[in-house]
Amino acid sequence: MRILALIAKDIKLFTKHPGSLILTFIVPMVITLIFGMVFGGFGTSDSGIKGILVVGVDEDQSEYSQKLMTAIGDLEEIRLETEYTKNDSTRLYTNDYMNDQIKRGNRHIGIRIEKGFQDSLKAGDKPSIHIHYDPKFPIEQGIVNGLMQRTIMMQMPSLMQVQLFKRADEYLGDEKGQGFRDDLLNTIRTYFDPNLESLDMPAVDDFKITDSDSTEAAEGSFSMGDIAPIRIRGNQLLGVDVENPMFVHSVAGMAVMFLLFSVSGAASSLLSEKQNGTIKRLLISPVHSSEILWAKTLFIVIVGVAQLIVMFIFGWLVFKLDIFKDIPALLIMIFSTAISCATLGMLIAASCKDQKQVDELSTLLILGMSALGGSMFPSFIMPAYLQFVGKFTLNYWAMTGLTFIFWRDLHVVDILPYAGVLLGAAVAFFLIAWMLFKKRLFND
Amino acid sequence: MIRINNLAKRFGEIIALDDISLSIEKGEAFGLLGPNGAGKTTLINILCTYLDHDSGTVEIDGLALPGKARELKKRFGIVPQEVSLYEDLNALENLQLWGKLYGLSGTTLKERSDSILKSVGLWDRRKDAVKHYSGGMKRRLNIAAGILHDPPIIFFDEPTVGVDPQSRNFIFELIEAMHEEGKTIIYTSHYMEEVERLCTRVGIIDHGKLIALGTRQDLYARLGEEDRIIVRLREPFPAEKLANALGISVIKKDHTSLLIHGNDLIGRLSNILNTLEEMGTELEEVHIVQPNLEQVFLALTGRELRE
Repeated sequence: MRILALIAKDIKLFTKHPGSLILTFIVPMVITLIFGMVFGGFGTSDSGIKGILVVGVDEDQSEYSQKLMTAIGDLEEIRLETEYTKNDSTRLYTNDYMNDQIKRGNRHIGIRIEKGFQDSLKAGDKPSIHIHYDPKFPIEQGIVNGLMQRTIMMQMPSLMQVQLFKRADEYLGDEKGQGFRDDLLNTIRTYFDPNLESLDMPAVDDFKITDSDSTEAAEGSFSMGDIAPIRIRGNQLLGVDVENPMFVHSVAGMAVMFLLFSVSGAASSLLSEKQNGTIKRLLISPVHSSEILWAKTLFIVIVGVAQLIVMFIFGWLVFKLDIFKDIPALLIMIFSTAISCATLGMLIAASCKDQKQVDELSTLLILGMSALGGSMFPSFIMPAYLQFVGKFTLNYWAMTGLTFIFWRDLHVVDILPYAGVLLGAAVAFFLIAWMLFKKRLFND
Repeated sequence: MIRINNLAKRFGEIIALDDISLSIEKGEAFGLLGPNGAGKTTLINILCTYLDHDSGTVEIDGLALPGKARELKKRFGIVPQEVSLYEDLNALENLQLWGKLYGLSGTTLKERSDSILKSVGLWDRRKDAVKHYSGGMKRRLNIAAGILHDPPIIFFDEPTVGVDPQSRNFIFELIEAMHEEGKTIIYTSHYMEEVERLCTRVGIIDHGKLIALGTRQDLYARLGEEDRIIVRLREPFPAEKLANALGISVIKKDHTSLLIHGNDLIGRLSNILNTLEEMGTELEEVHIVQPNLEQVFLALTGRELRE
């Protein structure tokens, strides 16, 4: 009975705090919802990654290259962009313009079919398709690479047979090559297709690029394994000398997320000071309320700057992160990130009545922002509308600005827009927090 | 020195202070007595510039509030009702902080901190975090932080709440010493014994109104020449019934006690006791009451201070 009474007491106390209910039930649902929207769509059975923006450059402009490019464009996982608009005129992407856009961070990845693609295929050689990529987005690059291989295999299955026979003739000679083909024919008859009549070398002119809706037939036909008829070559445009690319990508995201947690905690100390009466005593002393808020904000900024600096030094020591590429630019980003996070922490604290509310609101807000802003996973895997929403988070601007310094060798002038957005947000947060604090902290 | 005229303050529908007017002279020990929620702390909060008033005027040393608040802040110290200290800091660190906020620095700050820690008996524990202090020690440090900058006016807002008798006495002696030094003391409490001991002049406040103001003797005089006795009975008994039977004033004091007041009650004591016996009550105790502020409050409001 006593245990039941104690449990009943705890349930009563628990239900008297709406924040506890929110943290226990609503926050997990919201975060799950965000993850669900990112990875599984929303309210549909349709799932998977869709619409990765890929620049396409067809230097060959042949029948084969155009058909292959069309097939790539038809993939639902890819949003192929072969043209761009400049000065009111639409132009085809060139290799140089694509590279420039990727280096500037406007695009993450592109594919280029080199000149002579069709001729090379017809000659039985292995032409190359190039994937130009920003290594800051390794998952994106990996997915596009896989999709390219799948497309080539499915669209040009006979090419694999050509490559196999060509290599057999080269290495074994005509006589032994014929023997290899006979043995192969018997093996296929025994295990796969008893009605197969011959395994002749197909003529080059017979190569067909199948329509994209003939996938089923292609998948059902005999495949020669992983003999690739076309080479896929990666072309890393940035950060070739970065030793731990994944760390560079994640450090900013994690740093910003944990910075938000630590600063919201520090800001909420104002509420503790209100509860224990020290704020009242400060206000009675010759200290102005604005001085109290400024002091607290600057303290949190100092903590934030220190936390980011320690994080990057740790990255330098452990992961060989080159933090000395552009120290002024890095310091500007660290400062603007810290001050924006600090003022957001102040705003969270100003919006709440007590420390408990701060914990609840900050958990919801910080996890949500981190998920949408790319701190937890790359933003490209999110639907376009969530990527757009992500741009309203501090995480997005801080991460982008910080990683640009390491990846793109951008300097102070280049990262100013990102620092500017963060500082602008900081001003807005601080002004709102100030008004709320004046109302709640000093007049209640 | 402190002039308050027609001061009023509301919190929404609640009238916290209603037309308060009083003056406190330099070097005076002024007591503000009243039950919890009477408006004492609101008045102190206005005087120490924490709250703005709605109407009326307040002047301290000729400077009107709230206009000259910042200038005035260094002239007074406050010992708030709550222990308003940073508990993770030690006593010395707390005093260093509050001293700097009041403009002290260097040797002056060090000498004042050391001196005050010795006078409140915390010198030996000066490097211990405040969170490890007893309630009485925290209260003493709370006072030290309020008087560190040596202000001529000191507000004490119920500084002995939750304090053990030994520390309470220590605090009283400290306040008496400061008064002897010529400081102006404004002391609020709902303990009439504290105000009677420390204050030369008293204002009694109830429901935001100043219902009495004067020296202790002035206020005792309000009780008139009447005697007061308290009878404690075994069972509750209606005050009106006894009043009608005796033809004198009787007030219910608590569950089983009645306060009887009237002329020459001592001479009529046997008559009163006989009447009670005839009415079937069983007497437990009779107490002849000396005049005090509690009686003044009871006479003015019909209620006890701690109701």
